[in-house]
Amino acid sequence: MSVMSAAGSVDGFAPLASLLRASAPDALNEARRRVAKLDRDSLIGRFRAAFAEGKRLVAFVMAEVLVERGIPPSFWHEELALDSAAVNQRADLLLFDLAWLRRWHREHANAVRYLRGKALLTGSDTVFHREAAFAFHQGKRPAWKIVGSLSLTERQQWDAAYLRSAPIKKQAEITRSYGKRVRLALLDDSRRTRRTSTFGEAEAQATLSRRYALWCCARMVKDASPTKIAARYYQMTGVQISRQAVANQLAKVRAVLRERGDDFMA
Amino acid sequence: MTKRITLNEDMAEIMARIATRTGMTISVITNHLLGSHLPELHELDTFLEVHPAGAGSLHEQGVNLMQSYGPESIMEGIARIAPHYQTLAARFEHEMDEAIGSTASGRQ
Repeated sequence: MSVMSAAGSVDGFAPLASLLRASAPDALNEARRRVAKLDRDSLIGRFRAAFAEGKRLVAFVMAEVLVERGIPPSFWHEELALDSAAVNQRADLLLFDLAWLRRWHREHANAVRYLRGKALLTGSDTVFHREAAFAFHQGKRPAWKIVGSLSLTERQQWDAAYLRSAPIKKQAEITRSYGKRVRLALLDDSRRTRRTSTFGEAEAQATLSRRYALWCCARMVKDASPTKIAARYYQMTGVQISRQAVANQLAKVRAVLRERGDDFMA
Repeated sequence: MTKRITLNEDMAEIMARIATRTGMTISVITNHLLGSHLPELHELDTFLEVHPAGAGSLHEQGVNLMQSYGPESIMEGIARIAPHYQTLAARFEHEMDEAIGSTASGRQ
């Protein structure tokens, strides 16, 4: 692999590895230490800002911490319309998705048919960056092709922000467009619910947010298993919820939607 | 990748002795030692890339940092010849401060 100067990022594609190589390990470790102190919400908020502003190393250090905390890349962004992002951003998105897979789905290497793909998941950091650069092919290889060559499961694609095939993207898009109507239906129902001394405006708002989030999570789980939905909900919000609570809340959501003649659960 | 390098006499002698004592090859030893200089080599590379060549230019002065390497580090040299130039390290630190600010140690 040719070594690109770290200044290459100014006018064209530069792999993140070129920036990492140019950084002193001490400086990176100090950055990791600072980032590790951030709580979940401020970490995600700051990651978004750093990513949008092209602070690539900062975003990378934050991404490492997000991955380590078990928050998948799909929950790092406000919206996932990322295919049209700049080439360096797409390179980094790919790297983040792959870092997630390396950390949490290492065993998936057994299901990957190609040696390069296996190396991507199990190799050293150097191998990882080299193979990620090969997969990215300077931005010329579309995400869905990489999804295919790594035989990513649906669940892994739902974890990913960038590595998604057309069917998953389509489902996510449907969730997004139905989502607005579902939110309105839940809001309408919430307004009609009587407020009491223990169920005030704040509680109503929290219930609405929780139900909407659970509906979104349910859409990401193929077999509607409450355990898996609870796991997704935890990844999405950082809040634990019991299997039973998931089932109860979703039953309520379903009832609200049915009442309005809609059923967006499928 | 194989690059042939010529070591001066003193260097060759001590390297050979360390290699014998540690059972490591001179290549491995050299890579270990140079590893700690990697960031500053990238800094110099970037500095030379962003400053165009020309008589008396910063580019030329940057080249001189390597030609007369010794009394000061590359980083010190860059800071001396171009005090307002933001090195990659300084840029990263600045971006971290912008991204996290003082709240990291304060509020958390």
